[in-house]
Amino acid sequence: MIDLEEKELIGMLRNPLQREEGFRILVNVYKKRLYWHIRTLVLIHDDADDVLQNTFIKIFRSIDKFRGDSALYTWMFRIGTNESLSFLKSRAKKMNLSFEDVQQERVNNLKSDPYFDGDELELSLQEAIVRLPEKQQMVFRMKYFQEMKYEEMSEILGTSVGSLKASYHHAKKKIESRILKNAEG
Amino acid sequence: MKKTNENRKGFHVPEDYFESLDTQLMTRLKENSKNGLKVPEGYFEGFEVKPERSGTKVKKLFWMAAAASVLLFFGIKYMNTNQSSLDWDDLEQAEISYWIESDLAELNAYDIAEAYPDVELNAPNISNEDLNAYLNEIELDQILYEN
Repeated sequence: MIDLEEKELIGMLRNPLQREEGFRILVNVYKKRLYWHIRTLVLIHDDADDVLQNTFIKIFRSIDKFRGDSALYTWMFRIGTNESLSFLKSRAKKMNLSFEDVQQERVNNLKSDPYFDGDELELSLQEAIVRLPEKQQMVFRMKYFQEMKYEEMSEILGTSVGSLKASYHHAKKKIESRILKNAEG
Repeated sequence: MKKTNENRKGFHVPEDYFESLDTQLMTRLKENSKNGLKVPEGYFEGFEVKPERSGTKVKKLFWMAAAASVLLFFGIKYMNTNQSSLDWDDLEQAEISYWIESDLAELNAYDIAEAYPDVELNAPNISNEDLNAYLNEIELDQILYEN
């Protein structure tokens, strides 16, 4: 449910006279968390920047459709998640690749992203993540990189906490096993 | 390459990225509020009326089609009230205003036909064979440029 501060912010966003000020506050409060959520999914900074801006524009335009059944950040994160997945799927379509292949392409491009300086271990972690099923990838990224609570994830993804814990557990096992295998091989 | 201290397991952002994001977003919003349509600088200053070209005939045809749609729409309405003849004078000002305000001008003949499935127009007595033969022979471009 929404708290009082959120309610005030939503009121500002819906009032034509306070809309711009409300939007500035909204951006300032949520920009970092939303950015890192999107960056974790699309990996490359320039793409994360595009998707983040599109997400905020969509939020601004759709604020009248927000019913307040969930917290504002949950609703915004859902929009950010959908925008990120749409971006990846549209890129796959444009490049005539499968969803899995386009994620591999992301990891390959990560090596030349000036805003990534992870070592070999961090790259092999990304290599292992993109081989997971879509849901396990999402849960692992949100838990490992964003340190998000299962309860928050559950609201954003609309999946039960139990199912999310199971997905994370499976994902972690598969990643560990793949990284160990690579290190031995 | 300068990076901020925002470092998440190897991921960084450009320096001042988050600080400048607000301004970028507000600029984008303002641009979008103008539908994102722009004209070259000084476009309106150098604007001049060009002589009429043959393409304007297409515009004339469009307006004729729009007028036909209006007559068809109100025609159907008045046919339902069993009025036998119809011209522009029969239309009340309020109905014309309603037509414009409700964006009904966006409707084409097919939309109107769908909205009134039970109404039949008194079409001239032309057989399907004759109609097909006419449509096969006629060039659409020819109609556009002749009217």
